[in-house]
Amino acid sequence: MYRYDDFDERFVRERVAQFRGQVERRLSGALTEDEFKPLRLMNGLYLQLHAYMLRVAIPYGMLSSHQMRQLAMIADRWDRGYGHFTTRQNIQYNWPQLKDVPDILEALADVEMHAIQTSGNCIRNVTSDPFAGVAADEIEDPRPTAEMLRQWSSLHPEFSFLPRKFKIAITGSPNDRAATRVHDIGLRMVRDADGNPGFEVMVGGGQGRTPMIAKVLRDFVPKQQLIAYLEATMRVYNLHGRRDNKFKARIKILVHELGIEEFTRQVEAEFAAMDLPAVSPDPAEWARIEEAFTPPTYAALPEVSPLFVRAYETIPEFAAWADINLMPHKAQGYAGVTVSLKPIGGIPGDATSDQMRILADAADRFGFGQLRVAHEQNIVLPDVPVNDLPALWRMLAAAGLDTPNRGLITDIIACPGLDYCSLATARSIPIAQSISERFADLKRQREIGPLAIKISGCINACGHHHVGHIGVLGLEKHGQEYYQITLGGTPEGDAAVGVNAGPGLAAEQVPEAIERLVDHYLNERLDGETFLKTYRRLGHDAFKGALYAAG
Amino acid sequence: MPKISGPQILTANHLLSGEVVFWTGDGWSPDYRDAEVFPEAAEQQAALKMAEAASDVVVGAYLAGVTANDPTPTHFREAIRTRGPTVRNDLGKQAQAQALQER
Ligand code: SF4
Repeated sequence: MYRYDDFDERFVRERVAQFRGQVERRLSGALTEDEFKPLRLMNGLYLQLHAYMLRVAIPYGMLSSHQMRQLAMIADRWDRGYGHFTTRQNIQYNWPQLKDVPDILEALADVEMHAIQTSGNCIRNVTSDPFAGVAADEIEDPRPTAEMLRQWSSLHPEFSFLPRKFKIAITGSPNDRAATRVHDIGLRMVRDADGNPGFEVMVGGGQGRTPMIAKVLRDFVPKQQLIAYLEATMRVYNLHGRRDNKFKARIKILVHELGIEEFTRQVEAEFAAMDLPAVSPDPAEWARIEEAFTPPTYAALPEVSPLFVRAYETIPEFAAWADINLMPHKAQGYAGVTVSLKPIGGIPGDATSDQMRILADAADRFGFGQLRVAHEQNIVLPDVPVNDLPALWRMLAAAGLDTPNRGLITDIIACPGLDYCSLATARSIPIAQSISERFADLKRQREIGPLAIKISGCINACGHHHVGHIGVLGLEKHGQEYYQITLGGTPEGDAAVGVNAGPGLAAEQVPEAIERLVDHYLNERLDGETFLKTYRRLGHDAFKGALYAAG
Repeated sequence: MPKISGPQILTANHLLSGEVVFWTGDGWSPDYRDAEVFPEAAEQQAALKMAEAASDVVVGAYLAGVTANDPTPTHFREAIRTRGPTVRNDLGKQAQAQALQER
């Protein structure tokens, strides 16, 4: 994986020293809160419902075992022994004290991490496919480009004060596991007619108050020109994006108001006027970055592992886990493993410091010391020899990390909601827990098949409810929490925003309502048809009817 | 946040620790039961001004609605804030209260 060079190291250390000074001046009274607040936010430090919250960037969701152990150490030493992995592939600490934050940032810098640009109107941490570099269906590893984007967007002087925050997602695979079409810019790797790699650039997607699916800005940009092309795109946005109204400031509104044709025209004009060699990264730098992502040396493993087969045939729990939580790997004899952070009745995305250390140990023992955070709030071990899967599974099971539910109804995305978040209008975690408990039976979960429930505690949609097959949005009316259900959303290929099903429900009605939707689906589905397909075939009203039937 | 009407208490977060605190009349307490109830709008606004001036001790001060003579916040958001995450009884103020009870 990419290692910091002197420049990266220096700028991260400088920022820590700078923030230490800023905290000191805040405490001495030399800085007022109004002066200090934007400074702490630039370093990922928020004030939440009960305490401060520190959001740490995990670049394109990639972690080494060494970094994971440091995250565990930070949780123990300065927080409450756990962390929360988010839909933006970051980690959040919920209880840091202001006086400790400079030390936390120093400890992060020790392992080449930071919390810069995890807040504010800048280009945020770039997100990616958690199976980047190993997926069997991948065109090419997108991580060198992701790293190039990280370097380009970090402290970019022109793009540090955008009209609003800006999120970029990138995938190297035609099967979109990075939700690229609901980001400000989505990048999907494609090849041109001559087989050269490049990117389809999509723009103006997003969730929040005004959910939109991104539109294609350009269907092919050569890889080497991508940075210049994005620079042109950002310039058009920076110039014309609205700064007078926060709710209309995202690029999706600009694209919507100008129309994609006019927006494209302006970007292309800007791009055409650019001095390409001057704005494009140096080929030597490209080569340096690409080299950092050289795949590990895979052993020549046989296609079939007798050890795996024996465990699969004799341990039903292992077989279930292997059926559900594994991904095909490009190297024969290896698999990508999803470690679910969604135990039945648990808090989606939370991991204790002990669990983090076990994940780090597992990565060292079985997976070249590599870990990834998936936007579904799970952890991925990207490179595990199939032969080692039984041993890995035992290790995970002993730590409560063996839940076999990737992509199933209990693999629920939920934002922190009103249990932690000061912007929330309602709680989201308890809703996730009650649904998870209701559908705990694995046999039933498998019978239901792929079904994504996503829950947000307010209209900001951090829990991606707009793109849940079933979305749940927590709101408030007359001093009570209530929940609005949306149906038919998906962030994948033919991405769609879910449609509001009607009047909201009380918290305790939600699991039952979902049960009715599921029953309806099971009754109506054709052979092999997923929930989403059945929904699309039968239409919104059929499911809406089921949702409110005799409820 | 709900609009301000009726009696209020004053709450904020402690600058250094981030902990939720309540104005007692002569200082800040982590326990809402110590909070002073301000029945009138004029006192409420004066309290808020005072807290804003005390930004070397607390941040993010605001008023939270209560019923007369009882400092228990009426809104569920504020009620959660007096206790801690409802999904982790072992964390936040509720954990300390529990630990005291078990002693
Ligand atoms: S969706 Fe709302 S409640 Fe949930 S984390 Fe985001 S801002 Fe907070």
